[in-house]
Amino acid sequence: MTLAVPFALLAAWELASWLGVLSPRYFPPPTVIAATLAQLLVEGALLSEALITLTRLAAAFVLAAAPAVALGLAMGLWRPVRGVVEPYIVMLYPLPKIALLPLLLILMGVGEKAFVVTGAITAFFQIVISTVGGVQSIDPRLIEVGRNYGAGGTALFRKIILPAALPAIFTGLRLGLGLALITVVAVEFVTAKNGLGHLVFRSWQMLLTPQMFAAFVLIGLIGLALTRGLRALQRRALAWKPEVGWL
Amino acid sequence: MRRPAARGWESAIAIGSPLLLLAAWEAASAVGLLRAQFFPRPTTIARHFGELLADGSLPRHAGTTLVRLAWAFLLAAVPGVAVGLAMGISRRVRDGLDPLFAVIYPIPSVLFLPLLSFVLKPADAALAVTGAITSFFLIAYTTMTGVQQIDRTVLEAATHFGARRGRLFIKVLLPGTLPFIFTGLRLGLGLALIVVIAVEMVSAQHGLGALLWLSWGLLKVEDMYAALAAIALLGGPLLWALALVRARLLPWLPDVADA
Amino acid sequence: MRSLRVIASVLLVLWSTAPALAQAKPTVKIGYLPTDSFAALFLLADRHLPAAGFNVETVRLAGGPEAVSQVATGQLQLGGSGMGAAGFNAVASGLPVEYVAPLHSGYVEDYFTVRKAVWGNEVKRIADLKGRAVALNVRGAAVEWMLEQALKRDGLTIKDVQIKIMPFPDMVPALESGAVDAAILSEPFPTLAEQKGVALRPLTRPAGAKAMPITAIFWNKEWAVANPDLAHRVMVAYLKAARDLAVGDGWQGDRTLDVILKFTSAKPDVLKKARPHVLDANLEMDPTVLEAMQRFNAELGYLKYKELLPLSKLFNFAYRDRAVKELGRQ
Repeated sequence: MTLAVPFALLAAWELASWLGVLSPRYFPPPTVIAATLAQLLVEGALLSEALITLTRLAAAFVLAAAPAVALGLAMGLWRPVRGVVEPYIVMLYPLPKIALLPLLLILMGVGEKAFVVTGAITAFFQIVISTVGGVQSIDPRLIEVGRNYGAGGTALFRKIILPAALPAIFTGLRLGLGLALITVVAVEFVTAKNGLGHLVFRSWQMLLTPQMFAAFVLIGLIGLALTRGLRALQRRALAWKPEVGWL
Repeated sequence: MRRPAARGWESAIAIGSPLLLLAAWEAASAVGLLRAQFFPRPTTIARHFGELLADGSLPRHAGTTLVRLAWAFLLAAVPGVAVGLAMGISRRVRDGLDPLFAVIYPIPSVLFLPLLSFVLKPADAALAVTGAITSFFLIAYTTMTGVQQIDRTVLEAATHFGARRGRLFIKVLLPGTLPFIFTGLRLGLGLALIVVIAVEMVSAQHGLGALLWLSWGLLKVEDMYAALAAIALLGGPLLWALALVRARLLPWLPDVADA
Repeated sequence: MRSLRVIASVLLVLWSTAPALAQAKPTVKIGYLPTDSFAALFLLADRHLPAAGFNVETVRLAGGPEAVSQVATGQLQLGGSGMGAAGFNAVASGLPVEYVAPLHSGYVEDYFTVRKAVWGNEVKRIADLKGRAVALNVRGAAVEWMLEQALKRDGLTIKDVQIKIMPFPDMVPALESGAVDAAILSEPFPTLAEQKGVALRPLTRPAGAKAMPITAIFWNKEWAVANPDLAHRVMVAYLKAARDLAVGDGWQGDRTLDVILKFTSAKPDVLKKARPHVLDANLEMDPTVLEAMQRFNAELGYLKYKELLPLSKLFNFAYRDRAVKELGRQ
């Protein structure tokens, strides 16, 4: 993968910043940002904020994943369940979940619970939708064949349905985690008092731009690691279906 | 085909259960089970919503949000489709841009607001462009995938029959890619809405997101719910309008449930 | 079998007496913001309530609406916040919250801070702040009203400036970098900014000026009505805390600074040099200022009600009056 274009851009930025074409107060040179990033990492402040964000992310994901997969499977397998739940999913899906934040703040006070739940709700919807899609797109012939060979009930589920839906479920989990990260960072940006998202916001307000960009870069690296890492994991775990797509 | 009776049941439940929930909320709030100052009755919220509509404040806020959303969507869609097509057609373009995109795409969109506010002085511009960024990548990538999945044999056959660049593009490539483009546009519109609302909550004085956040800070609870309802009502019709356009342009395709 | 029965009955006895044991000492949950203007509340929680036989739990909060909603729902009994729209709206909507006493007052001259780099050149007087960025820590609270008072002195209103919302600590670097040109800043930060050569306070206090009430404490009305004796004892303890501050070098005495340090991350040496906050020894408050604040909030569209509330609805001074009577006026 050629890194020519990114490097060229960074070099141009560095030059422009030193020359003053780009205001160095608003766009410090990448070398300064890198130095600040290194310094903050060593000092530990950046790592503790990152840990807070990641903890929220993990909590949101764990909270959402199991119920969402369970609900998605139930909806995919039994029409009555889908009939009851689907209207809510369809109605609430277009709603930006971050808009629920003030409501959750009233319900749970300004604190971790509200932050984590907002992230969890976003992930929840995505995982449910992907799981339902996964179950519904199973080739009916697979099920027929299974039945012909005498598989029924749980055996059918464990041996045929679940494996067939697994790629879609996995994709849903991946997308859900990505969305949860976006939501958690957005919540931190809007209202939290700590975490990487908040650090970017605070640095912005105080015009401490090297610190702002450093936090920004760290979040980007975390996002990149998560998306790439999970895609690789999916490819390995579901080795029979290696194409995972770019998302 | 589902039996008519079963479908009737499903519609009944689809409409009935939300109504039942609203009725339960109304009752709980009225008797004090739910504290009315924090969970006003749905009828109170509806009435307040009507009042805000009538005095013009809600339409103004909604209008502000819609304008930002329209800009964000346009800024994401037009370049997004163009770049996506380019990346799908030309391997070199793809190899050149992919590393850059792969790094920027995972970054949560709201974080671009500070950067953009440095570059774009009118606050509205910064908000709109922030809404566009992640959507742009989404639309570009989906379009690119659309180009890539076109059956090579179809392309070969068309070339064999004398179709050259321009005609190839219009008659074969574009129709084949359109379903994916529309999926990208749908996802992109949803994402742009999310980001516009989020940045409005952070730093705007007008707009539905701003109304939502400011009302919470002032404990004007009914305003908060009205803003929430307005935001919820915004997404649906927009996506539906997009689906209509898609049905017109691509009538041969069945309704695809979700990506 | 027999030993199991013995254990079971012992547990049963413990279980039934435990609540009684706990009830011996009443508990009060207090919500606070980690700023030294809440000193009276800190002294109440740390010193006077325990001395009066109470169990105290303190909960750190993020801001006004949270404090009001937590007290209104009974999760906390007592809280403090800047006086403003959130509190007014809560009372107006019938939430069981009532303001009962001031928490701190101040002089706008101590709060209004201007960036040193621009003072004297681009900004020679307050009117030159037109169109510039000014920092506030929250909307719809006393600080916004204070800014309006400062701007009015030179013919401007709050609509003439660009408001940026950020926490107090962030205002110092913001003044330094020029992100804002002025701020309503609470001690010890203006002193810090002055020490760093970053900002200055250009307004001088006129003789005979009265301090403006900025924050106040409120409690859950239902709790007070159900426990009138407890409420009275809490108010008496609070009055004692206020007198610790109002008398002598109260705000900057060592004992006070120790307590402030416990609840905030403020540095004692900076606090010592800061201009002190104000709290009346009899917990008195200028009612005309309150009415002006309510009107101001209404004009800015922050209130969810149209008719202004009479003072008696917003503030219940009965408990304060009773406590002052008991301890005697100072």
